[in-house]
Amino acid sequence: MQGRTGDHACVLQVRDLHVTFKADGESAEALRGMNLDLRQGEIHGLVGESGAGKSVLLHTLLNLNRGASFVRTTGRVLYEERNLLELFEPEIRRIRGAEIAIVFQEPAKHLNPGLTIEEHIRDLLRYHLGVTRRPAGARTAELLELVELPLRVLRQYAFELSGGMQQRAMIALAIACNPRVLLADEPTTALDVTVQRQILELLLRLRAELGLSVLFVSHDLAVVREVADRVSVLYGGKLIENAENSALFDRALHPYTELLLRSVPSAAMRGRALNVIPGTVPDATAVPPGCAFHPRCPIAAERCAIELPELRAHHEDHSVACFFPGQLVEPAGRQG
Amino acid sequence: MPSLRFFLGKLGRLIATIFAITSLVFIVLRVLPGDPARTIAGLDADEREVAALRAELGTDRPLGEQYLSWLSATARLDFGASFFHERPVVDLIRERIPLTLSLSVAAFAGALVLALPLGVAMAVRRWGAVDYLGMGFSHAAMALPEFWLAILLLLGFAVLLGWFPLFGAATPRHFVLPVVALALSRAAVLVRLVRSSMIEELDKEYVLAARAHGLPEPRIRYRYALRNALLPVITVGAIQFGYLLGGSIVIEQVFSLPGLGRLLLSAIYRRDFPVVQGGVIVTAVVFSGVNFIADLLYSAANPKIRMR
Amino acid sequence: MTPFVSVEGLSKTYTARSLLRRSRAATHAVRDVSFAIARNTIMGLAGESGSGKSTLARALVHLDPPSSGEVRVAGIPLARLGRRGLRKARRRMQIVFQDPHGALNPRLRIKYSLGEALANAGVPRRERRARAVELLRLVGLGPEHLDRYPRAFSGGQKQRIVIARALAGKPEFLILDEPVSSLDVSIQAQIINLLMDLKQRFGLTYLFISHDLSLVSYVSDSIGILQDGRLVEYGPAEQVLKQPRSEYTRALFDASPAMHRER
Repeated sequence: MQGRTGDHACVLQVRDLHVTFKADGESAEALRGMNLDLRQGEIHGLVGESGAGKSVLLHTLLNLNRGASFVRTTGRVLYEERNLLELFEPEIRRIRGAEIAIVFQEPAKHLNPGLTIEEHIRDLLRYHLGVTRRPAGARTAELLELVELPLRVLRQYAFELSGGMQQRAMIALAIACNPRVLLADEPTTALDVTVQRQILELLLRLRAELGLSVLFVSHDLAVVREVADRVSVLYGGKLIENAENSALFDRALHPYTELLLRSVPSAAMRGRALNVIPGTVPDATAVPPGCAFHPRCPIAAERCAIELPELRAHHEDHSVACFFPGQLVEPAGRQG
Repeated sequence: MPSLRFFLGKLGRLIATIFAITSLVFIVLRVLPGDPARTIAGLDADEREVAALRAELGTDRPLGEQYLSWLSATARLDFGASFFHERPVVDLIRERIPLTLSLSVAAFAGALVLALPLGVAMAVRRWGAVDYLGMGFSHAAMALPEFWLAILLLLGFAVLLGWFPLFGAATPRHFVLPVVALALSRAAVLVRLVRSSMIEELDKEYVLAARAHGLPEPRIRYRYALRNALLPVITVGAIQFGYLLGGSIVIEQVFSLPGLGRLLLSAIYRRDFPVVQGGVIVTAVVFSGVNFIADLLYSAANPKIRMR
Repeated sequence: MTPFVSVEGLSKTYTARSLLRRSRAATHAVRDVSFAIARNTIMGLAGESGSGKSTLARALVHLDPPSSGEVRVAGIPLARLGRRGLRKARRRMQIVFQDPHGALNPRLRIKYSLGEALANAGVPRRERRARAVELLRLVGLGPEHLDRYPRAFSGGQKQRIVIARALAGKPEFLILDEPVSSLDVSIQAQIINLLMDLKQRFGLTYLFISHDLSLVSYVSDSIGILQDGRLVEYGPAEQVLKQPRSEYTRALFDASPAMHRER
């Protein structure tokens, strides 16, 4: 088995996951052999640009892929010694929302416009816990307190709430049935910075209070740097680097990660040109052979275009899928 | 429930619409060139006869005065007397309208009963067998004019099979074929609307979210998606009801049913203007009323509007 | 030195009109905003959603005429210009909007989108093709792209085309309204570098609007912070970054996650 679990207890393990879609008659492999460990109690940041496979991964974890364009999934998603991909619909349904819950990017769109917040929560309690009317009332009140929303919100509809309150309501739904795992799909991307800060703090507090393990997907490196314990980088449907937060941000080993970090503008970079990665992220219908990043990589060798680098432990707790890890030269004048 | 302000606003609009319709009818009949008295009396009538008729009809008075008395008469449902039947128009309408309304209501109910489950089934299994059959039905029923469908039904089920009576309105069995004819045509339109509206809802993010929350599929379909998918159906449904009122004119003719439609049609042939006026106004008022109810239903089902 | 763009007491009010009564309280989208941008510098404008950033941008170029206040570009007060003069003046200032997908007509080949802009700029028909190729070159695209439709391009490429189009009339002042918000990180960097490059090459002046404080901190020579339509902070970038005067600015910077910590 690839991927070390080490001494850490993992709640969710992804093994050699492939997901194929059909786009304009062409077959597109959105995930091409993903491996990922979500450890107990951690916030695991998942970083990648559009098309890297972040959302597909989240949907696949809950076995939610469907529709005319979906072709197939292979591989394993292990949760409590079961492969979620092999479960029948009624079994996986008991896990969705109850044991593995999800928070989406745009709460306004992901809440039903015809239901109040209370009706949303009630439905979850009823179907997952079989809780009837009266005890449900106590639980809904408790949930609102947890996410710091006033009780009046229960009778309101999503469109009556601000973006931040909608996201709190979404989170209340997600934690309603005491899940072990929380999947967060760009939960603060659509929010203003001050509201984003509040939501991030809420997630950190809930993680501590409820012992959640969180898979935090974002394209925003700065946000991930602030909240994640560990970080994984996705490129071309594969995980290319995985490390503890500071290790990844201070000593990235994969050239893509390193270049991506250097391309983020900030006050500290004033007066210097941003580092640019030439080209664009590969389309899932035409992922380059070998290392998917090689056409854009400044240190790519012949080998990179032919052989596929596997994700390997480079040193303790830091894995990378590259034949030349850490060999990208530091640009002049860069401070650590 | 809709707020009082919303209700009053819609009620105001309803009244304004009815007012506009009656005024329009007045303009068409009295203000536009053409002398009703001359038309009624006939080309060979002499000038004295016409003048007498003008006085009787009141068309010799100033337009403003005519308009006011027209409005007050209309408000009292006094549409005058039929030239042909020589009875008050309002009595004629009162006799005929229950049949037309029950025909329309039954056909509307039938159309809904057919279109809702079928449209949902088509949307849930897009491009499946049910979807193709449903689309085939919809195409066929929309292509066929109602009267043609009615005649086919008559031929098949009344003439050949003899299951239903040919014409008349004596028993409930007499109404089966006309109701089916009307219902099928309306269902053809509604089923497409339900299907597309439902597909649109099922593709929305909140449906994905409900699945991700582990809710059962029937709950997601019916409680979540269908509820929201019905909103456009309410609005279009009201317009379809208007078509039913119009469609019943032809259907009543085909099945020889003594309804408002037939009354109107024969009145048009006979140039029986008071009946035409009364019939047009009553139909328009019923249509506006149905739209008013649809507006209220729409707002009751849609919290965004309700809150305004 | 006189500033290239100066804004004095700019306000924009919207009156919500209902059928029955004029709304008593007019909404102040932008209130009494004053600032100046020196030639060939960048002023960054940041603020949360609803703070009036886009309203300010539109009022600035008189797309929506301001309710009060004065805007001068190259010393010329825009309000005094007639309709014609304004149209002429607008060639010298262009807005680039956030969404590159909506900014290009999907049914027009790129050459027509550019050709239209060139025609508006008064470029004679026979010169347009050559100029269009030149514009594409400026933004890192080639003549082979002229005959394609917008859908054939990625988000980053579309934004390049939108920038090329904005350059058609050889403008001196660009308002960049969230020019990279919808783009991926690596593509963002490409576009930002392109914009900085164009600024140096043509001596352009920018008003750079963004909700992203890190980005604004990176590009700006001076920074303004909008809150509820008021400019609560305004000054040279170094000063705003090191010692912001308003409490709100400090709160914004504290809330904003940062990649490279300093201070």
